[in-house]
Amino acid sequence: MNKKDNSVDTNEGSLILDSHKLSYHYDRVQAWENGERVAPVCVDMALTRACGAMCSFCYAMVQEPQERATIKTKQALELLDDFAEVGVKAVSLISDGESTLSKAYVPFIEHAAKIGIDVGNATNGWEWEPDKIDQVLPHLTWVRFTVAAGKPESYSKIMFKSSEHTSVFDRAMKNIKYAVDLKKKLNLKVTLGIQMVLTPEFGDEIISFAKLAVDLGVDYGLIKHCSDDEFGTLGIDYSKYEEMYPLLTEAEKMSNDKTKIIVKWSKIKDKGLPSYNRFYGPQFLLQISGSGLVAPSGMFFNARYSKFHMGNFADERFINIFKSDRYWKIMDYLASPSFDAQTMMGTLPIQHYVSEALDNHIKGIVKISPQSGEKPLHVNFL
Amino acid sequence: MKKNFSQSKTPQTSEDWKKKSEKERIDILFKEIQKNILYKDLEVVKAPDNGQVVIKIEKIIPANKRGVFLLELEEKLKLALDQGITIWCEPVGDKSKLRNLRGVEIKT
Repeated sequence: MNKKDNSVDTNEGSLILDSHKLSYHYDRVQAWENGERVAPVCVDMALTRACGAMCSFCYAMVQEPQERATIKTKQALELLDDFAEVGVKAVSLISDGESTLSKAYVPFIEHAAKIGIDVGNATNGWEWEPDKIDQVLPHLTWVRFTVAAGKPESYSKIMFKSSEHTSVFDRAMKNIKYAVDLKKKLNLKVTLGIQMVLTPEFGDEIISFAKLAVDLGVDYGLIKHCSDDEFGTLGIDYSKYEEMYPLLTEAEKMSNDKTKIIVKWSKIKDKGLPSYNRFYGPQFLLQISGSGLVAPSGMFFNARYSKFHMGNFADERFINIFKSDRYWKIMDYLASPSFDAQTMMGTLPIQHYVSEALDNHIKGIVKISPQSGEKPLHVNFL
Repeated sequence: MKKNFSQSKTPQTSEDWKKKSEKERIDILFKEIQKNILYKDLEVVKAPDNGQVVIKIEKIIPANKRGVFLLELEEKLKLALDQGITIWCEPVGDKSKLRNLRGVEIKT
């Protein structure tokens, strides 16, 4: 691992998963520093809040807003057009729902490719079958499969009803293998990875997970912390991660030329407490719920955080939300003394790396500097 | 240039606020809220000494209105009562029947 930017060298380029890529979007950092209204470089969103899984670590359990809109294909495509107009460069289909279940899923990815927006997708892979894979894989920058454990019984216990329901594991593995083969056959640039959201009670799954990543022949196996809300609803004990450091180090050593085992050490070692009080990240990395709700971060989707709700793109065009005073009033609030990221939101959001870097930059601790030369993989996904 | 509040302290509630009982705090918040007809559908549910006030909204406010509506209410309460007040709404639990089998209940 490169200690400067926590990048990992792969056969296809440098992969940054445990840091940020703001240095490659320095024009926006400068504009932000000058007090200009900047467009997000990327958006993390879902096309639905529905999901067929019931992962024990799922943050969507604490993200229910007041209402759910059903996102229609037309609205999803118009959203992409608005993204292109304001300058959004990439969309991650992750957020609070399983986007592969949406009727808009395939057209969304095809349209994004047509208008030059990069798309990545995190999925459990259960409903991501060959017909769908054939249509979308050539257009995707990356796909990351949620694989909670390496053993079928543990996987099914964590992600579905019980350890007896291993058919979901079999289905996921079949589809992942199909994608790995298709990538090879068509020589696609897409990066394929599997991800384990590590909770302390499943520390003994770390090695089997790493072994599975290597056996599948995916490009990486990623192990990350589990987020929780500020009240500890999911019951994550961050003090227990340290006990798993030796296993995590052992898993990393299982990397080979093809498959890298990557641990998000930076987030794991933060133990749920950010170094920053203000929350600048959402201005660069916005989140949208599968309910259509536009809010600065997934941390604020729940009705509890209604004061941070900006609009719903199923009711009005995103471009109008983005250009509205309400969008900026809310973003300004998060950057003001009224907001304290250490006490008023859940742990380690998607915007964590970006927020930390912007905070260090503005405090003069570590300045973000422009980068030239070869860009890392997935440069538009911050 | 951007205003830099990165090292500013978040306002805390005053000693006067902390000295009051929760019932007293709820009463003064309620009286303040009742001054404006716009807030007739709001109810104060919690008013702890740390100023993290929880309110209940009786009707659904559209997504494009609720953010500013609540931020403006918070500004008014800070100005009128205590700079350490921050408002939140009552949380909504997960509507997924499947995930609800996990038995996770939102903490407050």
